[in-house]
Amino acid sequence: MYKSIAKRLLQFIPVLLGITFMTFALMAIAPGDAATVRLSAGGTTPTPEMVAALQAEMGLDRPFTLQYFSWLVNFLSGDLGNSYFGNTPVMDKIFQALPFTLMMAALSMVLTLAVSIPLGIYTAVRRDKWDDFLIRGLTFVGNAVPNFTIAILLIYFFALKLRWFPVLATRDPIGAILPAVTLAIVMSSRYIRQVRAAVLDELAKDYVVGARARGIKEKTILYKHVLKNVMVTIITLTAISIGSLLAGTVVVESIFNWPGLGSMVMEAIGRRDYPVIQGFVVWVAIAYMMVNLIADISYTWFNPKIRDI
Amino acid sequence: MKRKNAGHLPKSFWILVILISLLVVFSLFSKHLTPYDPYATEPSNVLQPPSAAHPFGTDGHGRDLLSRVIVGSKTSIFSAFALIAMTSIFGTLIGMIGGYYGGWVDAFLMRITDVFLSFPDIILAIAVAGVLGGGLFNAILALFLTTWTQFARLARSSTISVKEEAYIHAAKLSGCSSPRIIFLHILPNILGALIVTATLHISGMMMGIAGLSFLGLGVKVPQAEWGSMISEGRKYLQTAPWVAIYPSVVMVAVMMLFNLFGDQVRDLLDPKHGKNLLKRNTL
Repeated sequence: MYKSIAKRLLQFIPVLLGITFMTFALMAIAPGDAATVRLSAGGTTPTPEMVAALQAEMGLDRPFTLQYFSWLVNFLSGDLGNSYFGNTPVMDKIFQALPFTLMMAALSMVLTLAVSIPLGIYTAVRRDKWDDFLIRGLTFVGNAVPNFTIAILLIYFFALKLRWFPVLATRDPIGAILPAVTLAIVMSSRYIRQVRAAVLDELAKDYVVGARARGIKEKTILYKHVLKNVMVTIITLTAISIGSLLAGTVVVESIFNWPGLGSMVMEAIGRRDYPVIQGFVVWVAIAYMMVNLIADISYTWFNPKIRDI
Repeated sequence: MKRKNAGHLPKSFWILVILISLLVVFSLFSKHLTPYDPYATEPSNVLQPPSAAHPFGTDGHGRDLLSRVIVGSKTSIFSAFALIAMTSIFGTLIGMIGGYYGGWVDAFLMRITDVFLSFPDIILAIAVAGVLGGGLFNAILALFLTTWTQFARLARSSTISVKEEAYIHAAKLSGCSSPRIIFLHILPNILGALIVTATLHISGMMMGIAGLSFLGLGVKVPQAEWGSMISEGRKYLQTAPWVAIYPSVVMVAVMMLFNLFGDQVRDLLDPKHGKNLLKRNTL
């Protein structure tokens, strides 16, 4: 077990190298020169001499691979460089925004699971009854609605019409509710269907037939046996959707002005603050891989038959 | 893969095919089908609510929204088609080469796909489009760079599962060249799963492009595109909600149509349907 975790962690290395190299190459071919961007950030029009001096200072005149390696060495010591604006370390910016994103992501995940596990089981049990059709119909529509449309509809009804929430809430925990609900609607549309399919799969298995034959209550079968086996599907889903959840936070945070990583990166994109964009991408890569690793480890807990990740 | 006779295809499939063909033809000629000029601004006609003259109302520049939604259909639908064509063809090619030749070629290609797959594609697309500086072309490029790997993976595993079949060995013995085997013997046999994945991804690609445009990283104003129109409508949500809502409704309807079509195609072609783990929604 520990051996396989170590092996997985080692596999992170080439992937991280690939991603960092790719983002680095991207910055290199991006239109506009980093030194000019940084000088213009101060509000002055840079002269060619100033640009050249700063280029030398930032090491931009060195060959590309050398620049990459020195960035890599810094990264290994926990330094992702400084923002072009205000010279704040990228690490600091990330740690400042991270709690907001984590809070919103956690809230939307909890909402999603709280809605989709019961509804998924319910629709499976009520298979082909009217309420099953209704809920499945709703999830079908939900699957076709982009997160930004849901966000706009929620703002329109709950912030503008009913005035339950502030339109652009920042920093208050109440401001996390509408963005989290937006993401939860998107994810639940997918989860309910998957949970329903997994429960139906499970209900058709021999052990359920056996348990029924032994006269065990349907509720006990459902909540004690089926649910535990369905958990593996739910964990897989959660791990897979972390990616779209993180992407969703970028869109939703910038709509609701929530001061998380998504707003940070959109602001950085807007003013070509390359080190911040790069730091964000690296951070997401690490987070995504860690979540998938944790998901794989948790399988062994729910299903002891899986010994090796 | 057993192909069903065209005569035995269900009626619902043909209805969807007809609806989608109509939609595609309509969007192709959308330029000539608008009631007004979608780009003509009229200061005296700003933010008019829906009426007989302007069924969807007008936007913040006095432009007719119906005309803009109609013209936007071409951008949204055809960029999704272009994207699906590019990613599926390129990904399939890479996947088949890796799966067929194996060895270091395969190892090398698969390490590249590993990098992309161990990373949320849309995040990378946002970063790529952001760094390249927006525009429809860059948005499509960004989504292409980050999504072709899904097809590569699928094509590779399907290729590996058919390449040891007797008919492939027979083809080799009778002297077929490798490209001939790949394209004439392997490709037709793995095409089913690829078509299913491609059709299921159409609405995802549309959502991706619209999402990038919504963030200001896709089409540039004033070009009409659904995502950027919805984004523009945000400003007027309080006073003129129709500016954001009508493009949204049309877009959702079109994506539902493509989702229905994708489900139908999957039911027809995919023997183990419903278990498509490759389906990853974007944005």
